[in-house]
Amino acid sequence: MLEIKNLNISFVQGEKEANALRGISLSLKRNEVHSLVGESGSGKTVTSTCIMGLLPTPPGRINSGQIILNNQDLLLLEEKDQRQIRGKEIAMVFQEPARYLNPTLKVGDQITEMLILHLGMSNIEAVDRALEILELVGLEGGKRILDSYPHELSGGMKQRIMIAIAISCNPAFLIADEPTTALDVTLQLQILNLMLSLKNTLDMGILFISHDLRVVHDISDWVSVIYAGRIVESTSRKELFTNPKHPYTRLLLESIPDADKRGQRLQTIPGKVPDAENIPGGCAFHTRCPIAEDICKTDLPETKEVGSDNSGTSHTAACHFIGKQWKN
Amino acid sequence: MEKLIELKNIIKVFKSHKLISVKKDNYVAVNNVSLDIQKNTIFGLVGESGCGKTTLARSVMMLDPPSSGEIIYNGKNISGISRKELHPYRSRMQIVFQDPNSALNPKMSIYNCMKEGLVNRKFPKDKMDSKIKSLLDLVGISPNHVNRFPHEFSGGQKQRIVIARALSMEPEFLVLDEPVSNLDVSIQAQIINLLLDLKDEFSLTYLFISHDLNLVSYLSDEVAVMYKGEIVETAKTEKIMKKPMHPYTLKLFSSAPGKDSNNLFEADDSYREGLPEKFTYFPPNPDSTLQLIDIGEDHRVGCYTLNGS
Repeated sequence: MLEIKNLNISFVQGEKEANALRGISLSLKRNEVHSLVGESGSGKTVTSTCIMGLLPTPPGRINSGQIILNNQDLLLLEEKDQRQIRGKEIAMVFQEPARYLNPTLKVGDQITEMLILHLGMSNIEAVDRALEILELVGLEGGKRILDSYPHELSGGMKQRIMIAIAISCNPAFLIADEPTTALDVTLQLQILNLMLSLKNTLDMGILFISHDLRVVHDISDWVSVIYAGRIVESTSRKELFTNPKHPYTRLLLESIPDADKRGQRLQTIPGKVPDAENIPGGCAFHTRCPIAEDICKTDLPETKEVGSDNSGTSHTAACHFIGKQWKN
Repeated sequence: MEKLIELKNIIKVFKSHKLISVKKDNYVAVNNVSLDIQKNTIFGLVGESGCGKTTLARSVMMLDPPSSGEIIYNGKNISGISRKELHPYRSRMQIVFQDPNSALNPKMSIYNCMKEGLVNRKFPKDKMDSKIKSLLDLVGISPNHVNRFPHEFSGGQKQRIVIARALSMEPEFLVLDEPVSNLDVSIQAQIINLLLDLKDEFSLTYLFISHDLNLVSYLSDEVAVMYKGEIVETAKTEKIMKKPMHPYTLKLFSSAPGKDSNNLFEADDSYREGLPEKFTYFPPNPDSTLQLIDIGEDHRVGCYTLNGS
């Protein structure tokens, strides 16, 4: 299990301080897809880079928190030890494969690099293993693919290569930061299905970061909704989509256009996401919330259990007025 | 219903310019597209990236005139006419691009940005201020912000400004090229509602380009599905959503996220569901040409005539 406890990160620039994460806690089990949904600037990517130990400090500053894997706190490790974990225990897939593959190296070298470095394989062993991995990620063509450069491959193939690199060392956890945003819908579905099947075959835990609730609906077991650096709601996929509690989640779900809503106006959320430098006091969502009252402006709501059914599924949300209705 | 735009056999070919090579490569980006866009409706154009959606839209607006074919705007063929004759049509057709960041000049204040088109249109100077302010007000930007620069606005606000600028020309026809796909989820709905309001207020006609099927099915009155430069299916939105026919449409629909099933529809060559005899969805030989046949109530599907018939 990978656990993030009360992570608080800010970016400091001169006298300005941007509070990017304000106490994030989440846990990721093996063989589970945990989605982190939020809009741009809500802290999704900061969370993932911090888990990978890739957060630049400065300007980043970790104010408090722990990231626990195998009973050790990753934040306390030295760079040398972090490198042992990065790629081997926790791997990452990025949004734009084109930007993260080295254009001057053959993709084969980029896959085997990991195997040689982390697993101490010889060159020949590594190539054999790389061929197996290619098959696993659904790329046919074996050696020919290993011998090609990234620009010779299509976007979907590049993303498969990224995934191949990420899973090459059988990591326990995979962090996927918007892995399908740059892809077409048909490719998106293929990549999502690939990730789901890899999750099962490799018994991997996936932290899936996305802004698209529909994609999240398709892939997740568990969903956490993040707003302005805090998790506002967290529960199983089914519970979140059938019984959302936090007003932000409820509004987000209602604002998605689909054929059933033809002729009706879409539900909107007024205003915009606050930037990390001036997050409103109290509940950060109160400026856009239809049910906010005075207490929301001053008191930060606690994250509490709000589950209504007796199924035993945990459902937490941070709002003073759970379940309160509003008029459109 | 009245047609605002009629496209007849639009073909757009890009010729490759190689410095040394003698060989000439032609790339057919849009192949033989014919469509009608009715007045005061939203026409949705869906397809994957690279299928020619944007090229078609640019051709319709005569920004990149088509290689051949006719564009009939309000009964007049505008595809062959001179630049000068085209000028009055320019202001009647406007476009909103996908990325508002690159659509606004970072060195120009919003006021100057908006003024450019109006000056071109010879709009009276004394009314300029009030016109710009009322336009900004219309799209929900505070008129006090006219002297700000693009970087001082958020993505959603910039898109509103781009829309206001397009409206300053008092167009009849707006091409919306993925206007919300760069925006945050909560902002998307705001912009879509705004576009719907503006359509009613000014009786506009939209050509809405998107890869988001859910959005297109929510918004548009008619939908055309584009694949490799050709229209493979077009119908009223309800029709096509209820009964998609072409295998590519089915594939596209099955891949839209947010449904319960996660299977991608793949058809093999023998798939010919719903087609009359003598027709097939797949080209029987490489030089067969696609034709759109009407399978009832203006639902047109692209297919090929089988050999020997």
